[in-house]
Amino acid sequence: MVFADKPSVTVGSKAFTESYVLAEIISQVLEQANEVKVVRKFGLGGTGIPFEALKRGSIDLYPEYSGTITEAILKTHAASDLGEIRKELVPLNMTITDSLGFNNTYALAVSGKIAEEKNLRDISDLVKASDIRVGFSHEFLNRADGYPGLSAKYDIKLKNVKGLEHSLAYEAINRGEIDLTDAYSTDAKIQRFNLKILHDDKKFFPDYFAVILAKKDFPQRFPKSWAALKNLEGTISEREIQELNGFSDLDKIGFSQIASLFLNKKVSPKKEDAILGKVWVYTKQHLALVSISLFVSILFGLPLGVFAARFRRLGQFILVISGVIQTIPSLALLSFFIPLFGIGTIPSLVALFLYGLLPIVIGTYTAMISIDKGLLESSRALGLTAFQRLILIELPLCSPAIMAGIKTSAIITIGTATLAALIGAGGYGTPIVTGLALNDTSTILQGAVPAALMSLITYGLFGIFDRIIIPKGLR
Amino acid sequence: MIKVTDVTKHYDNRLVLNHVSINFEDERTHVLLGSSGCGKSTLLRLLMGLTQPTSGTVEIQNEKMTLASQPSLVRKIGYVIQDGGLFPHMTISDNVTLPARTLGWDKEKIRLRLLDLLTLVEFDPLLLGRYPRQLSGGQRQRVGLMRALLLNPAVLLLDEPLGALDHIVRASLQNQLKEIFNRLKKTVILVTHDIGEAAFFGHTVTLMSEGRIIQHGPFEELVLKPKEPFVTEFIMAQRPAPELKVLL
Repeated sequence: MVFADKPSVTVGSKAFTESYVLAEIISQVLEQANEVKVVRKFGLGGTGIPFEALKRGSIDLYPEYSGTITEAILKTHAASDLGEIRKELVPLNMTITDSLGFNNTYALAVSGKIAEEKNLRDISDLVKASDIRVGFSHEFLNRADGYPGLSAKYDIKLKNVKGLEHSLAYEAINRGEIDLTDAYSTDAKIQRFNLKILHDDKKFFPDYFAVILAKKDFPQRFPKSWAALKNLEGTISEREIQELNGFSDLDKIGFSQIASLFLNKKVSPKKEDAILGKVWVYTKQHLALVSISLFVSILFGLPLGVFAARFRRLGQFILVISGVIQTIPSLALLSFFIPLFGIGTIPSLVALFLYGLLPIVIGTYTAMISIDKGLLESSRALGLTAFQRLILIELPLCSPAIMAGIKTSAIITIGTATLAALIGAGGYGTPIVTGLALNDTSTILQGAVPAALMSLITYGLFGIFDRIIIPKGLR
Repeated sequence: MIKVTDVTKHYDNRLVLNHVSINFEDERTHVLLGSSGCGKSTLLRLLMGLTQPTSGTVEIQNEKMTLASQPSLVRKIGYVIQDGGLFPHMTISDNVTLPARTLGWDKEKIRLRLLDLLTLVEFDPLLLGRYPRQLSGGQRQRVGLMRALLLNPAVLLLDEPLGALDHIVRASLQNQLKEIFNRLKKTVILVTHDIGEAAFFGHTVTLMSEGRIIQHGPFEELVLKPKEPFVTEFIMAQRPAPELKVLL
């Protein structure tokens, strides 16, 4: 390969349109600088995941916002000046560029009709309309610089607030299901859906200048690339980014085309991969995630189930632990492993392995403790050793329940593995995450339909496995 | 000789066997008789080493039954339980030959032994490839017997072997069993609650009640010289066969 000797640099992004667009622009600028080989790991969930990934060195840089860095990463409220932020990032071994040119601040967007009806212009006006239906993104609901801080600063208690996925909020407003949501001031959909931005009359929201957050040694290691990235500073205006976001959200143009459109001011001749080709790549990634984690789940789950049935007291402990793991929300479990294993395939495999464990342990355990006592005595009366009893009698008798457990585990793993895309492991989750960020059903279906098909095929395959593994006398 | 010396057995806090001592002579058929819960099945399980006595000892041909000696000692004992205790996931042939296969017998030796047993218990070789659930109760019991006899043990223990069978099958199997016992000259211990069966099979009959041995001896002795009124009560409680009425 021509580029084989070039060092590689991994660009990350969060899972929303603007972050994808900026990350793709960054990637293409790096490619044009021709100093490094670019690896794209886009759509890495919310702020925590790409930041942890950067800290661990799983990625080298990603687009971030000044306000997010002070509030969510540095957890101070003081530093708002970019120079100061850069100083505070030194102990974390990170650095930032100057502003890329626009401020994507939080804003409250209200439906035009309601704004008129209730005469809402400023955020302060919400005091007299506290019963309107509000849908906030989960991140906004929980961040100090989100709803909690806003509510304190303006002394407003909204009575009717629920959390929802940000990309679904505009549709929800459009369908009249909610009246108010948090928005980014650069969202292209604000005009499209005839929403009104409420004026931040008490200056609550901090600045959210777009910057590039990178490892501190990046400028020294790749001076040419860094210089090229510095050239982006101050080049993207609010109007421009709204337009670029709109190309993606509204006109469904691919990110790589949008980025080249911005950089070269002309549409790139590079064609998007054919859908079938992309789905095949996702399929291979998904299959690898599912089959490896399932294999390890079986490797550990079977002995654990047998062990739990042999030593009941300790067994209860094993069952409770695997039950507790099952109740941890999948995304939380996935992000939990980032500090340990970084992002990508390894932490995903560990999380999927843990999820797949319970059905196999429970299936094995339950079957082992329900074996007919007379048969167990018969096998001892025949002088079989404990190991012979396990291999020749107990496991074969338990095989239908064990196979059912493995089948359940396989189906769960196929579903859960779609979330692995949020930490950069690829698979069918990739189009689902992207599609959710873009609110684009056809992209979501590129992942959802094959995932459902894979479940069905797996179900069918287990019909065959059962015939091979379960002894004929038990069928 | 099977020697049981001062055996007491508790399950949790329940006393199941209370200072039981008894010897079973070689090459005879002994019947353990009593109503359910009297301790006869527990005694049989102790002989197999399937459970250990709280106190006292069990010896099979001068070797003490312990947790450690059980797996090898048990090969001298064939064990038949109600409904055969066959493994549902194995064919009849696999069920019968399992002990020999785990001992590493070669195929030809296993085949010849299986042929002997088929003739002995008059079992249809065409059924060897079937699974236990595809057989009748009587057929399953014959399979259980073949498996128990496979390693040619000196001792044969049977726990209510005919309990799950209807009367006609039972009668024909009774005759066949008795013939096999006499021909093979095994030390047989058979557990039953049925007086007729005890009288039919037993060179000696051991009547048990509430974890104790009430009387041990030939059946006629139990009838004619009962040690306690309970012995007569127990025998009279089940309507005796006409030929026994003469003795009474």
